[in-house]
Formats: sequence, structure tokens, C-alpha cells
Amino acid sequence: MNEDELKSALHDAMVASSPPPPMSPEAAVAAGQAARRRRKTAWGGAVAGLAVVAITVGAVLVPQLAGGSGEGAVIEAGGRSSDPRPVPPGWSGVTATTPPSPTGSPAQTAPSTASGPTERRWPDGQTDRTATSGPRAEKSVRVLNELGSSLPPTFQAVDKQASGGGWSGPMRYTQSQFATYYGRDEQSWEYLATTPVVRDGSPGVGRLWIQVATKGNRMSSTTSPCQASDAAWSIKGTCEVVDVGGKEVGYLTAARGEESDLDELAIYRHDDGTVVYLGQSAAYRNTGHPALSGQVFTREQLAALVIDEKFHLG
Amino acid sequence: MNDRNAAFAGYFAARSDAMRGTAYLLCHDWHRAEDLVQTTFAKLYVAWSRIDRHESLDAYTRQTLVRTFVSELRRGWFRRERVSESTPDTAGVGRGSAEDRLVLLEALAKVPPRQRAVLVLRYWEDLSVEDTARALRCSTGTVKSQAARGLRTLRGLITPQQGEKVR
Repeated sequence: MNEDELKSALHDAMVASSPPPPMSPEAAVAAGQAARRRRKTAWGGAVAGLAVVAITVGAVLVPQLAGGSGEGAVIEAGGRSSDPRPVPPGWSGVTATTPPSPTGSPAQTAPSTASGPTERRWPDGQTDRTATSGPRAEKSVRVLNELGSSLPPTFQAVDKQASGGGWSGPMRYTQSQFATYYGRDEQSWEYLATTPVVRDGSPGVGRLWIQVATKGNRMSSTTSPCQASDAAWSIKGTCEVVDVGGKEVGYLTAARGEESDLDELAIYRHDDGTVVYLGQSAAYRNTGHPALSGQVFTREQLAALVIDEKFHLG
Repeated sequence: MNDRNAAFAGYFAARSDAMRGTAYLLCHDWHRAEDLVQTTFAKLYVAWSRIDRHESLDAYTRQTLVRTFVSELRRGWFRRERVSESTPDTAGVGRGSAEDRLVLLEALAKVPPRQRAVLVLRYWEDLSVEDTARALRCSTGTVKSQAARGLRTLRGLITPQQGEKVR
């Protein structure tokens, strides 16, 4: 099959396919409006947060710059100061941008009260599943840093560029993504991090990979960590349960001859349903780098690390 | 419906089917394809007033679609779509039959996602190497190598006998 044949075959396949009925433009407009409202709500929250910071900074700085101890300074709702002392020349103060509400109480950002399935699809004003900023996004970065600080001596977690092999994009990255709602509007999230790993005096590049699926994930109800390994379909091999200080850890080893992203994967399910997947590979495949001569962690080390509370995220 | 919504709805009505077809080739699942299209157009709606050159909407929308697809993949490999272990029985399949097309689509679904995205953009959307690289945020060299690798993978997944039928 050459390029022209593929073009022709794709065309034939799509012409003969049976797509569902056309999607509704009205529903698309509604979804777009909902996304825009969420965006505005998120920005409103950010502005309100900045206003709070501004008010706080003002409450600290104004009395100090006025030479006083701070006593007598009162910040009213809406950021107006009732401090009667004179303001130093040239001092313009900190301007709060949040106007007072008609009742005099601080203006509040309206909570998301979306009700329909489209409205509530992505949480917290997101327009898609991935959190690109904020506390959720920072969590996966922390996971990456925790992983990097857990390495045995002589190993370092570093950033590298692929040198061929078909890999595109960064080799070291994190991602925080909303997974699903559970219970009463509780959110289940996934925090992913992966990094190249090098060893002193060796040109090889290995890979560490971690994903934490928080409480409420679809593997929460599994009774054995190896059942959770059913979801890890891209590493093909055998899973066995090992005991680590009385805790059951699933240990999946890639079968020889199978192309897997990882060589080994340890899986631990916390009592609350949080599942931690921690994998390693002596090679960072498809990046053009040579492999490490061995794994970063021993089997015992990897199994012990996966149960560490620092990866037990909410 | 105000002007903005009317223009957006008109564009959606005109282009959503084509985008859904591309999404289907990427993920081999009509439901997920519709999810991808809905997410893509919701992003487009948010950015609608900022897009001055509406004549380049298709490129922008296609780029958003593909990046959304790739971004979803980064959510973690274990959430990627599963594909069947075996190809369908093709005994007695005639040239150009529905089974042939199923063979091609199922084989395409087994091609690694980035290679698949390159194949779909290059050979279904007919994008240039440069435009494909722009949509996927990678180099033109990567597009060329991924396309070659993807074609090779696809050939490997379709047996010679099936390949004759797919043609």
C-alpha cells in the first residue's frame, strides 16, 4: 500500500461508512456558551482572588508606610480603608478592584451551579479535561518532583530531547486531568508524570512513569491490585501480587518479545480506592537514546515506593 | 439567536460532519468522535470573537481537533482506546466490500496514535507536510518520519491478501 492507495482506501472507507445523524448546531451553541460561562467564572474567581491579595497587601503595607503599628486601620468591605491617618506624599495606596456589593458584604464569585449534563461536563471552568494551571496542574508537577527525589544515588531525573526514533514532544512532562464525577459531585482526578532518567557515567536514558488515579476512579472497587492491571493494556506481561510490609502490591513484568512502553509496573490500591501506578523502563523507547544497562529501581524498591504516602493524592 | 451564535451555528452545520469524519479516523469510534468534535467546537466558540480571519477557520478547527485528540492521549496510555486482538475473518471477501473497509479502519486504529494522526492529516485531510507539522506542533522531519513509519506499520498490519482487497 503506497500513499495514493491509502488516500483512495480512506476515501472509500469513509464514503461507505455509516455515520450517526448530523450533530445539532443548537446543542453546539449551547455547549459553546456553557464553555464560555465557565471560562468567565474562572476568570472572575481569579480576579476576586487577586483583589483579596491586593486588600491583604494593602492592609499590611499601608500602616507600615504610614509609620504606625497598624492599629486603627480598618479595611472595609470592598477594599476601602477607614484609616484616618494621613497618607505619605506620593503614596497612591493599593487599589482594590472589587466593588462592594449592594449589601456591603464582600462580593463573591458565584459558585458553579450548572445543572445539565453539558453544563457540568468539565469542572471548575475548564474547557476540556486537562487542568493547565492552578492547584490541580501543580499536583502532577509535585508528583514528578517527588519521583525525581526518590531515585537511588547516581541516578538523576533530567529533561532530554528526543534524537530521532519518531518521538515528538517533550520527554519529561506532567498532566493533570479530570477523570469522572462520583458520589455527590465529587471529582476523581488523574495525575501523570514521566521523566527520562540518566546515570552518572552512562550514556543511557531510562524512563520513569507514574500515574495516580484518585478516589472514585473506575478501578476503586477492585479487590486485587492485579485486577487494576487489567487497565494497563499497553504493557503486556504477567502480574503477580507481592507483599510489602503487609500490603498487597501488583507487580507487572513485560513479557519478552512484546513491545511495551514500560518494562515493569507496580500497582497499589489504597484503602480509599486511590490507585497508584509506578512504572520503569531501562529504555525510553522511540526517542533515539540508548538504554540504561539496568533498571533504576530494584523490584523491592519499586514495590516499596508505590505504596509511599507521598503519592497518595486527593 | 444573535449574530455570533448564528454565524457559529452556520459554521458548525457546514463543517461538523467533515470534522467528525476526521475524528472518526483518528479514534475509530463514532461516539468518541462526536465528543472530540463537541469539545473542539466549544473551544472554537470561546475563541470565536478573537479569530479575525474567519477564512482560516477550517485550519484552526482542524488543529484544535487534532491537538485535543493528542492531548486526550496524554491523559495516560491506559485510557487509550482498545482495539480487538484479531482482525475479522476475511474469507471470501470481495474487492471493495464492507469487510475490506473494516480491515483498513481496524488496522488504522492499531497504528500508534501520533503516526495515525499524521496519516489522517496527510492522506485524508490532504494537508501539506508543513501544515501537518503546524497542527501537531512538531517538525516537518518528524511528520515525514512518522508518515513513513505509519505507512510501514499499516502495511504490516494488513496482510498481503487483505492489502489486495483493501486496494
